[in-house]
Amino acid sequence: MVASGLLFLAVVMLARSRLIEPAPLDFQFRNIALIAGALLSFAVVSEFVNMLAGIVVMATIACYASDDFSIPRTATIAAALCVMAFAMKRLLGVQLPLY
Amino acid sequence: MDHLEIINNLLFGFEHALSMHNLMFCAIGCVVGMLVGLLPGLGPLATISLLLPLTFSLPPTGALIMLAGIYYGAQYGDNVSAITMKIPHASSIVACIDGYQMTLKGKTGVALFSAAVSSFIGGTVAILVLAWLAPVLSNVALLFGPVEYCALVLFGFVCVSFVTTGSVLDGLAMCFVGVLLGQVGSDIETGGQRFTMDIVSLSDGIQLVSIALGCFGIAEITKNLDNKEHRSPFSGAIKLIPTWPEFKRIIPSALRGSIVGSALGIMPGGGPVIAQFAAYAVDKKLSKFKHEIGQGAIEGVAGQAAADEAASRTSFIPLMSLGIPENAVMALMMAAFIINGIQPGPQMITKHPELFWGLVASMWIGNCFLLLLNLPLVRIWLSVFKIKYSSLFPAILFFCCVGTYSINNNIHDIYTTATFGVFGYIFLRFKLDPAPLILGFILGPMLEENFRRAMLINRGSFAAFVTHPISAVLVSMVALFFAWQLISFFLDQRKQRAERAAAAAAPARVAETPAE
Repeated sequence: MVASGLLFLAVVMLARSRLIEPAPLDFQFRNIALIAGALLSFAVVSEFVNMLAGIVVMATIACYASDDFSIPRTATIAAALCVMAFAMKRLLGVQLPLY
Repeated sequence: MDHLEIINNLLFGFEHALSMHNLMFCAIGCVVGMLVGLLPGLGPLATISLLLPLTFSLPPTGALIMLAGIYYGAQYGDNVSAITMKIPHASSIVACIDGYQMTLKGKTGVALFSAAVSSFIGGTVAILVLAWLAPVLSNVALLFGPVEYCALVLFGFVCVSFVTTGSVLDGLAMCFVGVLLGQVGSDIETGGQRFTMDIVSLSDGIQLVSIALGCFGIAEITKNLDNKEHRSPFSGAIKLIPTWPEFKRIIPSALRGSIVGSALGIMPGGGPVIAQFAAYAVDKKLSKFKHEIGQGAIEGVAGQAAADEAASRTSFIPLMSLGIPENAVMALMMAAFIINGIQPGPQMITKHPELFWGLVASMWIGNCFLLLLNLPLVRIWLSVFKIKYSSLFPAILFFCCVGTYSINNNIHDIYTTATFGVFGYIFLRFKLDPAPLILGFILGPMLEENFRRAMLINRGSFAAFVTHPISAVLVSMVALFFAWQLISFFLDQRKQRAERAAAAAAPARVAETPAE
């Protein structure tokens, strides 16, 4: 029922698109690819190595998405996030496979 | 419910809200809310999704007090960034108009004072409305059966779809996608697997946190990175205390805004954004200084701030009395209630009075905290803007990962979050708001359950939807809404075609005219 409702809406949307003015689509692949890549590499590295390495890899890939990438700042951010992860494990009792 | 009973219940609520633990959770919620309200790219929706996994380990009342604090605290923070730096968040677009004009005139302090005091007034009025109306509405909710609940959910879908996306078609499509995603996993009646594609991690369904963090957190981060906006922090002088004539202008406008906000907060699809636009429009009509509005008038800041805050509190009424969230933040709050083992709805006030009244009382305590955070400490908050976004977003990403992982201690949930991050970004670029999707996802199982019950009770007949009075009213409102949308679309098309034809005819006439 929901699927047929969606199909109906899709048909109406297609009909509407014939009537309205086309608008340009602003789509930048680089940043979303880097951010999604950062998340995926965090998951993969955490699964096969450990979460600390995952955090470092994630921070490095993610920082590359910003327009003012610098290695010292990336290293500082990664270190700060690792400390935060330790604090979450020790103080809040969140079960993180850090090492 | 008489006044004495309400006062008695509020005192009972204060007894709970003033315990050390709950005071601490309220303060944390307000501080975090204020922070996310100030910072661009991290709204209450993303923050509540981030903190949702943490509430597993907190006491229910404290967790909900904290999450509510984040929501209404963010409305206060929104105003500060809008007034000082013209940073428009979703719910502070109106504050940018007169608030920033006042900053340009060197009246930043008065604007901040007006916004904070009006928010306090709005919050206080809304709490009184909440304390009085929620129990009354709970009694009305007892008249609701499966048919009425189905109709109410559909009505909510239509309202939210229209309000969030501006197009009922796009919004409704997102709602239905949400409902479909909510069906992934075990069937609530038979226990059979649906849409799992034999993937084991999908057998328990898709995690709400993965969808919320993906669509709001990840997509928002990417959008901000795409925009590459650099803002310099506010460094002007702030003289907070207004003169007596200035102060006198705040009160009537704040009271008008409180009434408008309280009323619009209860409506399905309503909430702070519509409330502040409505309050601004009311002030433009009724204020003694209406000619100044738009050029930096106190009324332009006070009315909308009060409405904004009032609506954010009264939007809890439908959730806590009917069990129906009216916007995406309330849908996440509903998830937080359910995670903590509390079913919001007509039975909530009688079954968990300490939670309901404690939450209501904590809102007023939160109001006092926020007044303190906004007035004497506002300068400290403005230093938040010195943090570069390029340093902030990896931390948000880290919280997204850890938040997703900590729900089931399962790395595979992060893949789901990343997938919804990509979908969220695509939605964003197609100008499809993911808020109706979240609402559909949360209300989907409820809609399905009530629809099945309605069909069983009525032996498969749809006639009950038009023979039951409450349902008939709701269904006819949905039908009227669709008719209005259809007519206005074709009228718009006709107008645009006429304009295009006129524009095409104009150069032709010029060409026909002989040169002199």
